[in-house]
Amino acid sequence: MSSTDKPVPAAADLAPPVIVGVGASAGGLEAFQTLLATLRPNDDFALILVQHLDPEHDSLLPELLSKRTQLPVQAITDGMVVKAANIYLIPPGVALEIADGVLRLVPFDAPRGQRRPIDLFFESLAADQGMNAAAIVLSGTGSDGSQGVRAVKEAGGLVFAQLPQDAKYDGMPRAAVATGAADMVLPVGEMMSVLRDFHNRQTGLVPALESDAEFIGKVVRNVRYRTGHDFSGYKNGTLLRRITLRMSVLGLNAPADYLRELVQNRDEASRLFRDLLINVTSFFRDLDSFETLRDVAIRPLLEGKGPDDEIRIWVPGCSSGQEAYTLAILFAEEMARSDAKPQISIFGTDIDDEAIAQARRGHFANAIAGEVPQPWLDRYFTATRQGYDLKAEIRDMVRFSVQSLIKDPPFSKLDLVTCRNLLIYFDSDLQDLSMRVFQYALVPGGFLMLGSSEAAPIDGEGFSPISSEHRIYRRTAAPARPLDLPRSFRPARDSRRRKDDAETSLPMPLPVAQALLTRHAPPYMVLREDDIELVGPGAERFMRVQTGKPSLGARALILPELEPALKRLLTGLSLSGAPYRKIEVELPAHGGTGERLEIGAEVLPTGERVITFVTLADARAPRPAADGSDGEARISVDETYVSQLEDELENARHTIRTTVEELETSNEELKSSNEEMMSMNEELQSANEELSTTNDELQSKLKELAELNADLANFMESTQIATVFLDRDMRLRNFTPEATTYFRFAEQDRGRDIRDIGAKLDIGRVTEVCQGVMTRGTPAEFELTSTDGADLSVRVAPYRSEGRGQGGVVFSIFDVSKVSRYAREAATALDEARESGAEVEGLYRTSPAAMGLVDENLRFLRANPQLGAITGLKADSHLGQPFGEIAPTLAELVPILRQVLDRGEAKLGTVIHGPLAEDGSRRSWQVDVYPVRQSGHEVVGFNITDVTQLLELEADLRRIMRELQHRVKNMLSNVIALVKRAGREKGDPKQIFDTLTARILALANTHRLLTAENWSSTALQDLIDLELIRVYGRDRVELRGPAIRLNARATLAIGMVLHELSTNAAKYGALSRPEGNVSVRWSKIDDGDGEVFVLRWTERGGPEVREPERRGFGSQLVESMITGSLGGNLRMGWEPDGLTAVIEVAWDVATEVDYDSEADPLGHADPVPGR
Amino acid sequence: MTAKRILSDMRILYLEDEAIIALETTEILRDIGFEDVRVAYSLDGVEKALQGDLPDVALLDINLGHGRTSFELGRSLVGSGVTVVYATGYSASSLPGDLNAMVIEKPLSAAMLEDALRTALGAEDERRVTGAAH
Repeated sequence: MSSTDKPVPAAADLAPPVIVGVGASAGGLEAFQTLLATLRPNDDFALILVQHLDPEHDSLLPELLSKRTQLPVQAITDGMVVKAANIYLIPPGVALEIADGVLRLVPFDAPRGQRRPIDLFFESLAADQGMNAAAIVLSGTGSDGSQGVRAVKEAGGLVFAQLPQDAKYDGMPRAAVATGAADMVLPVGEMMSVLRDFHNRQTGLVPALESDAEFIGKVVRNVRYRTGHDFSGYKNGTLLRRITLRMSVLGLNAPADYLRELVQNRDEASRLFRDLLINVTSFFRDLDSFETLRDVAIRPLLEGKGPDDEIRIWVPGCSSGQEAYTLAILFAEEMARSDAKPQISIFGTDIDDEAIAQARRGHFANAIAGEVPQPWLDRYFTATRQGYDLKAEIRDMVRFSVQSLIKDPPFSKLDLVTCRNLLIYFDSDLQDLSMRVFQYALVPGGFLMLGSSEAAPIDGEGFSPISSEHRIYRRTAAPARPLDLPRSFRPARDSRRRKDDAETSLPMPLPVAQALLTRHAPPYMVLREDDIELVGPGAERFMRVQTGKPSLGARALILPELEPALKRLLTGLSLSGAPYRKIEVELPAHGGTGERLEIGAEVLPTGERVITFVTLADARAPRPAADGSDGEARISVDETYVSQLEDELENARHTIRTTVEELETSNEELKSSNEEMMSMNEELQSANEELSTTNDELQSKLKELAELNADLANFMESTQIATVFLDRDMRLRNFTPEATTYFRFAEQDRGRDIRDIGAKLDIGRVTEVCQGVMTRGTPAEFELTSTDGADLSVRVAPYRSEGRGQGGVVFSIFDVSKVSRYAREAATALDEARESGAEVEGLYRTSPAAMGLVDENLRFLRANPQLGAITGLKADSHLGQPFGEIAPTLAELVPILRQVLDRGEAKLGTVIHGPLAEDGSRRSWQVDVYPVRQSGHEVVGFNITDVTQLLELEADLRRIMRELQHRVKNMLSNVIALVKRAGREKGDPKQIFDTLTARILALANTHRLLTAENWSSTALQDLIDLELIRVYGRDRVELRGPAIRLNARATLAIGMVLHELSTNAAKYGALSRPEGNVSVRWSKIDDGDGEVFVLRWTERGGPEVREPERRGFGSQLVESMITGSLGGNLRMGWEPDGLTAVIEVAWDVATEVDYDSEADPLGHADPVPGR
Repeated sequence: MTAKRILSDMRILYLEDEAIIALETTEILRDIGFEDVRVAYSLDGVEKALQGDLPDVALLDINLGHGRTSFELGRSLVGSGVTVVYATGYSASSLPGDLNAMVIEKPLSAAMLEDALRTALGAEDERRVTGAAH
């Protein structure tokens, strides 16, 4: 398998993981934890933990165990595949099996209390994994696991049991150890390292050892020396595996070390012997073969047999008896079907005395239900709690004894031998020997059945095949070949020791004694009790090995002819008490003359008996019996002796019968009480499991309580609160150290009445309250002042206790002097804070500015009603809302708020514009934002002031300034134009200057009128009054017309026209004479094209008028005023009676107010942006 | 063509709503050399004054009362290739920047008016010369 180019670890990796079944019950948690703690992260075992769990409760095991190991711990689910380096846990309420490496959960078929989940799993583990399995039995009561470990062991697996002293409950480990299947009994903590070591050895060391045949030879010799069993003919591979297992269990590496162990430790040989026995057997193994056997052998054997006939059957290597019982069942079945009722004797033999003991019990585990066909199971077995008991009719057909097929004398006169799967462990020499034994033992025509995998050579001489397929053969009539059994080997240590003793006290030289013994002494043998210890030279002549179970007993080994004589001799010796007796016997010789023997027996001081055989000289002449000696066959009969013996025999028989009956009776009683005990035991076990669980719980509770107690004690010591515990009678029970501030407590004061102990406070009042609290059962609190002036608060509570009649009170004293002071200060501060809070609130409510506060996420913390005018929300509705989303107008402030939040500096004077939510009017606001620190958080406050009016006022002011500038410049332009005009006039400078002055004055008057009317309009009456009436008097001017208001432009133009006309009239017209007068009439007429303002100037009583030749500046001015400025008509009538002037101007041109204070021709210069 | 043009050959539109100023300024324009002076006292009167003729140059008062200004007329004239000079009582700095015309502040003196008109016309001629050279 391992080639040279393949690295060794790879080969190790390929090895399937060792699957370790671990069983535990009570105390298992602790054992599991210890076991898992020794696991290493690189271990590749698969651990499967099987625990008795309460099906009613969820298991905490996975959780508790996963803390102890790095390997994954998982609760098993049905169908889970077992992987290396994993830990699996059985869930509650189900049984666990394994098949092909897959875990199966199956329901229990036994009622609660009788379940054996560990056995069940181990058995399936053994069947599934064989040599790859390991079983560990840990703490627990009862014996679950003990059958399972045997199965594992038989399958070649490894078995560990917890050292009973190491286990919390040693029932299960002890039961496992008692089966003898445990390879190792050791503390839990050491199991994993041994397992690991064995695993490594398996994968690493075996090839190295394999070649060492010499080592195996030495081991086998040692085992033979110690146990008398010779395994030298066993196959090396089988032996080596078992030896390796022992070596790893012992932790030995070198073969030499193991040999030393074998020599030094007497028990090791027997341990290895047990391990070498391979006890795999079952009922009806290969049913076909047994059916064939029934047809070809059993039926022919039974045919024609009567009650006096005997059929003898031998099952060598029967192990725990299943195959022998199988044959018994087959025979019983066949006999029930036929009339033949012969005596059936089945002999089951094995060298493993423990297996034989188990076979004799006739008790088998539940597992056999799968092996024995159901009808037979019902008919031949009795179901019990632990499994099945064979019924007596089958049990009595089989006799079991310890016997070695290859060493001990065989049975004889047999009709059938079945020997299955035993020879495969033997080498060819041993196999050949076995075949000779079978040939010897079987009668001619007897049947031999071998195992299906057996390849035993049938050389054709001794046997003829009946069914090759099922390995059934028949002994031919050919004579048996000689048997050459190996010499019986017994440990000789005892005899050697005695020999040494003898040597020291021999009264002659040793060579003399040796010569005497070898040449001159009669044949002799030495007995210890009834067993032969030493056979002297020549004595073997008188001995023969008998058929049946071999024994060292002298009576069994001596020639049958001599046996009665020896019996009488020994009986007589022990009855008489004499040290020496002898007896004469005639020994019929085989096929010739007989000889006379004198057999002597002597009791030595050491208790051994020496038997001597002396051949008497005359064999043919029988001599009368000597005194005290008898002979066989021809022994003279001593009637008294015989009748004495017969009486004794009768007595003994009677006694035996009585004893047997009594035994049977008491046996029945014992059986029934045993069953009762068993059921009680089961109940007790259940109760015990539960008690142990409860115990665990109580222990953890106790631990908690201890911790709590420690906490409480520490608290009492460290607390700064004075607390006093009193019982019902006001006696001191306990107190905290702080309590000594107020009381003169000493430790010994516990139990004293508190009123008798000095205190700094009014103890009378305290106890009074305490008693009140006890009576009412409700806590109370009161205040008092200590004798040194401290303000104290005392809190009294009833002491609640589970115990009746206990109780009392507990009170604590707090010095509240500081607290009272702080409370007063706090109250003052609170009042102040409340006032300033109210002020702030008032400010918020009444301030004309909108105010608010937002948090670091710009959500409103505060808002006043004025803010609502902007956003359209109620003041409270703002709270919690994001600032940026509450009104589009405010959204543009978000970056500013953030900036203030980030920098912590106020930002003042931001101007924003937007509609007022109340009425939709456009407004402008100035916004001041400032940081506020509020309970540790940076928040932002803001004030929004409506500056719309302010800005409008500012804009008005600017416009007015501009208008003023315009008018002043216009006026100056007018004046300059008049002055320049005057400069062009020719004539008297004085007159020109006066005219100019009058014109400027008239202009100024008109302006004064307009300014008085806010430059909007003037009453025509006022204008005429100013230009005419004040200058020329009311009696010379006739006025007629409705009240009319002229606009500014018309005022200027008409005013100028009236000035020029009146000036001209005063100079050349009606007003130049005292009797002349002027009539001014005006009206509004509608000439069809629209309303027209008409003013008629008529002069009368003046000098005769002529149209002037040249038009002066006055005329030009009048005309351009009316036709140009006002776009009207002017008709001048130069009539002899006097001048007539008619002015016509469109009504609206003359009267419509042309100066609109709102209209600004230079709108772009508006100082308010965005409007 | 030389930059010097004979003002008497030119037609000038003069818009002024103040009759006294209009009378005097008309005299000054004649003194400067304009023979064909078309005076209008309001925007409505401009068409009547021009009688279908396009002036060579226009002197426009900006504020015409009733909130009206002469900017629209001026822009239209500039678009027609007329040299425009605005006269205003406001300070020149508070006027729109797209007028493409010279602005003089009231009150006007004869020298100032002549200088402004000649400068405006000269600049206009130069612009025309360079435009023709292309």
